[in-house]
Amino acid sequence: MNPKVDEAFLHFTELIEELSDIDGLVREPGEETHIAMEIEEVEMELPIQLDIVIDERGKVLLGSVPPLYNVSTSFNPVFHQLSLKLKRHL
Amino acid sequence: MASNQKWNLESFLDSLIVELDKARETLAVKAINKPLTYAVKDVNLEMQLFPSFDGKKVQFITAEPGQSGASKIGIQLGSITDQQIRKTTKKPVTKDDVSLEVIDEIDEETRDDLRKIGVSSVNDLAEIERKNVDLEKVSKKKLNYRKLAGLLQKARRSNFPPSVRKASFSMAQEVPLLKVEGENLAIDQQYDPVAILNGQMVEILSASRSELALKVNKELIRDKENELIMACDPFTIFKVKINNP
Repeated sequence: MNPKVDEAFLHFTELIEELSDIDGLVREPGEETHIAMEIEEVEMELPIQLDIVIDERGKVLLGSVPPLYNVSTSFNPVFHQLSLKLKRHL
Repeated sequence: MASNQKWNLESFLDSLIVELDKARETLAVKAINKPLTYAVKDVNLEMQLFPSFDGKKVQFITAEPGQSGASKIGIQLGSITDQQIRKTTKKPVTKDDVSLEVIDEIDEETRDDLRKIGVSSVNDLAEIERKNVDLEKVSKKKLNYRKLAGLLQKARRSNFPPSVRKASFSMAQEVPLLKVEGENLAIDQQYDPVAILNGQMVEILSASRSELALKVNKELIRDKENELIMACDPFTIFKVKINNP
């Protein structure tokens, strides 16, 4: 059977797409206000878990996900660090 | 989750870059419809892992829960300007192009190899050929243009299947003509179409996307049923029966 990334993990592409899906419009609440701001740049830094699988052809399959569980355990999962800088698409 | 596996840095980076490229391509498509979208400028991945050396090569394995003393490796991708983002983000595959993903004849390994060198569609391949890149060298002798070009042209042609609407005999300046009308007939100017009427090759006077004009000998035309076989290019061959009332 061809090895696959753990189903609890996203492919790295999907993780990046999810993290980049930002509603960049900041508007003051209320209907009568007309002031709005648009976010130009976003910087984020977050811990992620990685699942690195090697398929039968030696290709690396990269699964990643933000920490899966918010429960304190005797020893924690290994967290890697992902930093991402997004810029407004012009 | 099964225990972690060893990997080498080259394969890891290849996958990371391909995954990132895919994400950027998707985001570029999204930007067409949504006015406020974001492009990836920098990615920095810092991993906890253990290196190992088996006497020949260095490999890495990501740290498992409970393990201490792991090394840290940071991979930084990007740090480019807005202009570079626009320049380096590939344009989405357009209607007149063909994505390699949809061509069944290209196996997954070849597809991966092509993606690594930035080729994901027919137009990409044409572009690197135009720049005289030695595909065999780049792909470690696994690929060559001729083999790929055939597969890609075939796939592209299947998007434009030929259809014949009308075929009729007529006389033009004492010369009997066979006119074939339809769609997507001769679309590739690289190839000269070939026509065989009732078993004999006939001269093609003009060939276009919507019309083919063939010069035929009077003796060749049969009273009732005539058979025309046309090869417009190596991937498009069709046969029509023409009744001559």
